[in-house]
Amino acid sequence: MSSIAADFLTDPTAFSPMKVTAGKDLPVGYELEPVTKKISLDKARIYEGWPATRSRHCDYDAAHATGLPAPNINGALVAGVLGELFIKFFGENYIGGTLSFNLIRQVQVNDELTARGVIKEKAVEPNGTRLFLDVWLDNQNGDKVLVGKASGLAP
Amino acid sequence: MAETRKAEHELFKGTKDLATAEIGDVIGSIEFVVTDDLVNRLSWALDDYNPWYFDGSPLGVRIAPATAPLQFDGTIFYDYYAYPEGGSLFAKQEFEFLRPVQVGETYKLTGTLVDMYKRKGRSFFKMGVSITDPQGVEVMRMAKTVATPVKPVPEAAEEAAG
Repeated sequence: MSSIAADFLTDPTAFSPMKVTAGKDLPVGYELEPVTKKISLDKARIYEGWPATRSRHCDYDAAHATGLPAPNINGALVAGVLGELFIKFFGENYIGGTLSFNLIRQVQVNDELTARGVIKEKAVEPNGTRLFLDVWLDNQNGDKVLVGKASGLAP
Repeated sequence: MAETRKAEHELFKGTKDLATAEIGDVIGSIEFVVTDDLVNRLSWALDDYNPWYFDGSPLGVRIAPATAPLQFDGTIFYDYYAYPEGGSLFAKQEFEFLRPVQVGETYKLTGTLVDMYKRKGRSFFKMGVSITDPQGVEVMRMAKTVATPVKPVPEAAEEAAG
């Protein structure tokens, strides 16, 4: 059986925790381990609830009716990639945290998005050290599609 | 039978013209349930299979993905205001995470117009959102800013239009 097991492939979608999570001793300038996701048409349709929901974000007819050549990805789905980075880094201390962002570029079907963050500032508070981050999402061309801020307490 | 070939504005029920919007407008509220189906769908869409969503978390409950309430706040905005002819963009979002949003729980999301301004040929509308649990305890605060039109109005035309 072990020779068969040796041929087994790893699930590429399996959850993998961040190796380094929020900690009070992390230095300003520390860059978080990035999270990368490809947003396919199928993924957009799962998110929107297609075919029951046919919006410009997942349906060609609806996109055309809105004047778009093809569906563009819902900003709420795009933001989900950042949300994953946020919870992975801050862990349970995402409670008490903040997250904000501006969407600055449209995301197209099959774009590959990478969520990134860097510690910009630290502040001692009564319950711990608060980390202030710049966060953003790049597409596969290196263009920023979202820029924002995050904060949370670090143990 | 699912509806198709609908333009974006036909997906919403809002009737109040954004030109008449005023800060303080009570946009409305909805109740939503964080169902297993919702969590499964969000996780699948993002390939984010954090066990805290499925098995439980150190907070003692199964939590929803951080941005899950974005499924609902856009809907209330354009179920109150008429979807603008020039289209609408999701421009900005803010979150404050006060307490865990739990799988299986029912929440109430209430939106109020808290700011509006014009910039670079577009009008921006900021909706403040409070999410409360069945006991009325606030679990999240959010703010969503939408912008219209999709194609900015040239500044000269904007001034002429007042």
